[in-house]
Amino acid sequence: MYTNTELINFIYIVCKYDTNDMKGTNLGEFEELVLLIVVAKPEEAYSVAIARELDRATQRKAVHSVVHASLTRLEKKGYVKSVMGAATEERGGRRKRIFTITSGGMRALENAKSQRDQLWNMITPAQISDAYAR
Amino acid sequence: MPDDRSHRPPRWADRFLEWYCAPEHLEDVQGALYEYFHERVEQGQFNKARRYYILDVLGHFRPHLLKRKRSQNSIYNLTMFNNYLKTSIRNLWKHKVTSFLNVLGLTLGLTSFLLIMVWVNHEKSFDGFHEKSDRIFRISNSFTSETEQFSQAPSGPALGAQLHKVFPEIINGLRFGTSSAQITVQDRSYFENDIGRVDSTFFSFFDFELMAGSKETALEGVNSMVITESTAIKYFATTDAIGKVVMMDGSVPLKVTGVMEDLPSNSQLQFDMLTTMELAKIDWNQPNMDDNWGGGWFHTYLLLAEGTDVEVLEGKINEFILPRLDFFTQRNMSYEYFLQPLASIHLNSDLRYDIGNNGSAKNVSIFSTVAIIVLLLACINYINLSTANAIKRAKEVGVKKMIGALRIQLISQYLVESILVMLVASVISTGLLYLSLPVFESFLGYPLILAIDKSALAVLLVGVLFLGLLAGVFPALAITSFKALRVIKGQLSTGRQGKLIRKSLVVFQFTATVALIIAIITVNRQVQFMQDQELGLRAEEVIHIDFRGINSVREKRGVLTDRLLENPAIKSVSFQRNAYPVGGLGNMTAEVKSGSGSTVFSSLYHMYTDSRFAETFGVEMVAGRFYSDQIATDTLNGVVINEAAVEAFEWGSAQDAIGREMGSAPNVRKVIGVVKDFNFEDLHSRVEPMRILPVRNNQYGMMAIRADLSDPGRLLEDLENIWIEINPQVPLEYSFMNEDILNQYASEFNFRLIFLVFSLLSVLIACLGLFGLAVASTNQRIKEIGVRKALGASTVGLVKLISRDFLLLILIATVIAAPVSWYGMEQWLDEFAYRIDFQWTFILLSGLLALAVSFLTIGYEAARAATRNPTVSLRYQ
Repeated sequence: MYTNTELINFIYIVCKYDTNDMKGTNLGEFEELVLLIVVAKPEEAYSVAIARELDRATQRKAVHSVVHASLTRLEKKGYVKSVMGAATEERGGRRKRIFTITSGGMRALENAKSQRDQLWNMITPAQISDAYAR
Repeated sequence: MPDDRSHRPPRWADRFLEWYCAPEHLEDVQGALYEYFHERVEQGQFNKARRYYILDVLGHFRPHLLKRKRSQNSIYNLTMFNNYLKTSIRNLWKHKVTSFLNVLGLTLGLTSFLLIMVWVNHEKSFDGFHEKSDRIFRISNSFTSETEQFSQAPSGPALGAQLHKVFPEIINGLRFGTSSAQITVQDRSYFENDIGRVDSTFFSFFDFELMAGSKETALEGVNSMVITESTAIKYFATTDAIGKVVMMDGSVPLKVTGVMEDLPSNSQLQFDMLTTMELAKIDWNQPNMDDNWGGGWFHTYLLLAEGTDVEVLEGKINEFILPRLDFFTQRNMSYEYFLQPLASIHLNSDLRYDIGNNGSAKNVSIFSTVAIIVLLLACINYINLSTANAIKRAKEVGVKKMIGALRIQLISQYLVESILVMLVASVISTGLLYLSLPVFESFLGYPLILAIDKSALAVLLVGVLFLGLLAGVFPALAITSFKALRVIKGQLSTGRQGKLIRKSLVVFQFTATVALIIAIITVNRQVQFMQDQELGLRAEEVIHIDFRGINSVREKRGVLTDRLLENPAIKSVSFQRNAYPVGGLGNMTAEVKSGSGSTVFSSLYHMYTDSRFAETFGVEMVAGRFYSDQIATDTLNGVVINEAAVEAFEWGSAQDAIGREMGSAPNVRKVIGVVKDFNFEDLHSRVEPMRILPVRNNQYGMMAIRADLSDPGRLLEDLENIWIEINPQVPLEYSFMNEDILNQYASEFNFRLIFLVFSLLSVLIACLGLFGLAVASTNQRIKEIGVRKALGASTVGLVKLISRDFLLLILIATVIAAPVSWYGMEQWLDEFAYRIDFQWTFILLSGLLALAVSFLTIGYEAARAATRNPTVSLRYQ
């Protein structure tokens, strides 16, 4: 029905469309925090624990549903991957989804960090003290 | 603690989560929420934990967690839709018998439904077409005297003339009455019964259109007259009639000032012409009529200001009128006035002396129910037939499933099919509706207002789609539930559940059918009973002649009587004042000394006759004697009453009543005779107290002849000859009393006929369904029947086997229908004063009828299956 070139063109279009759907490689602030926790606490990298860690680290209330939505999106972008972990009693015998960072995710984190570092490097100590003086 | 059942999150919240959450996320999210819950419970905040759990579940209702649509191929896909349509048409064509039965049943059901609904709409549309109808009220009253109490539609003339001058919230008043007179146009005379007498405000109340003349001034002059289009054509052969003059009763000239369109049949007011109230005052010699508050003279309409509180106004009106009714109050009589919204009068008002042709809200709801039942029966037919035939299409479903059809696609296929069938049926029904409407109208006796506009069509279309879905959903679910693999392998059985549903639908169908048959029998018996009812007089030999009180006839009645009695076939001739028997008697008051000695002011019917009334009508005397021409005191101070009056005045036996006095000085009359009760109204009401008085001042209006009717043609010829000889100017209008009486029951006859037709239709529809089911079920059992036959089962035995199931269902249906129809028919019968009792034999008879009809339906199919050669049936499949 289709010639080979047509099929390949078709697949190309679909893939292009697919990647275009992703929001580039930029991380949102919240996503960055979540990703950082996934890296920092690999043994507790599931939604509830991440939300708790966010609470502690940022002193602001992290809502579970928001954390979960963020994790889902990160996974869709290919920055994390997940496996189902062990079941616990307090979860009513349900397993938790454990997240680990992918190489892409790590790259995105480093990317974000280097962008910031670059900007920080442009700032002189004098500029900082000036700001506090105002 | 965690094991404690009460220490668990609310179940419903959990279910909600499970419902909306995509399966790939469910375990993780639910687990997380349980973890939070557990944590809060550990802190001892159990209630808070439950509350937060609910909030959490609601909080997670977010797009990324919701279930996705499973299929991209939705039913809205146009290509697939075309395919459904094509396959549907092919399928319908392939199964011709089933399709035919389906379309036939639905067409019958829909046509009946539409027909009844047109009638119901007509009944409900009465008087609603006037723009101000929500502000127009009729003021009617309840009259109470010491011996009786009744409500009547007309009120005293002062109400219409004065109330709007007293109360600012009443914008205007209008009085309407009808009378009859002889109208002479050049040299031709007509008796007119429906001459309206109205105030000049008439056209500011009602939106009747004038074809010629002005609404403002048409009713201004005393001798003005507005005639309807058909009256104009009858009188002048043209509608261009303005300025023409006719004579009323030979002496009053009337000038045509307006020609109006004929009245629509859904108007309660019906008349051929309108004359003015000022003329009526002169005509009836009542110059001070406008100050007369009591009595029941005119139908009085009030136009109220926007937003008037009707109940408050009623109170104020009653308060205002009370001191003006001294004449009645002194005689212990009272009037209580009430307001009726114009548009509700036709269906919801049942008052004495109403304008007539009032409908009944009860009948409207009875017929609406019948309409819905018939439609439901038709839908059930479709469901049953399609489901029963599902087996034939199982392979189609199986193959479709194998190549990956989703269930939703299969279901849409069947829905498209049922909507298609429904559309075909509705198109045919609409055609049938237009064809059958004239027939329906001709036996109703009036044209129906058929209001078809865009919104009605939209409702119809939506209704048809809805019915299509309703009828299609169950078969669609049943057919598509087959397991593909088993179907292909040929292991097939319709589920027990499906069978149960089908059986209960059949039971429902036959419950409705049996109930309708019971209703037919009851209605029939009641109408029969009313026809056979002893009227208390012998109507079969009486001929009425209505000469409307024309003077020349009154004067010549002696000669006329003598000439008529010369004919050997004519036995007796009598003259009366009122039209009889239908509603022609007036209700008046009389002063009576009751059995207990106290003076009672009573209202009772008055009948004015001559001395030969009893003889002519065959009315029997219970005590005393009738008037005699030989005894002069009879006409001076004698009175004849009926048994009901004796009872009302507590005078003991009829014999005791003789010699009792009635009336106040100087008009005291002594009872000289008591007649056996005879019906002078229709049989909806009991015989009321009545007195018969001699006609005063020569006010004769009617004539009755008792004659041997063995050769009616000859007799009528003789009658006509004598009439023309003596009264050449007066048209002879005669009627047979028997027919007059039957005419009273016209609405019952109509009711019976409509009921009969639609009930038979529903029985027919039910039988169609049963036949289809029988075909399907014998087809399924062909092999079984073959085996049984091969093993030596007899044909009769096999027929029994096949029919037994169905007959059992019909028995169950009869048992269910019995109490329902018993209750319903008791309600209907309650409207009659003379009624039959509901008997259990009706139920038995209906059950047997239903059994017989269905046995005929199934029997054919069963016999066919049972006589088939077993070698053929065993090779089947």
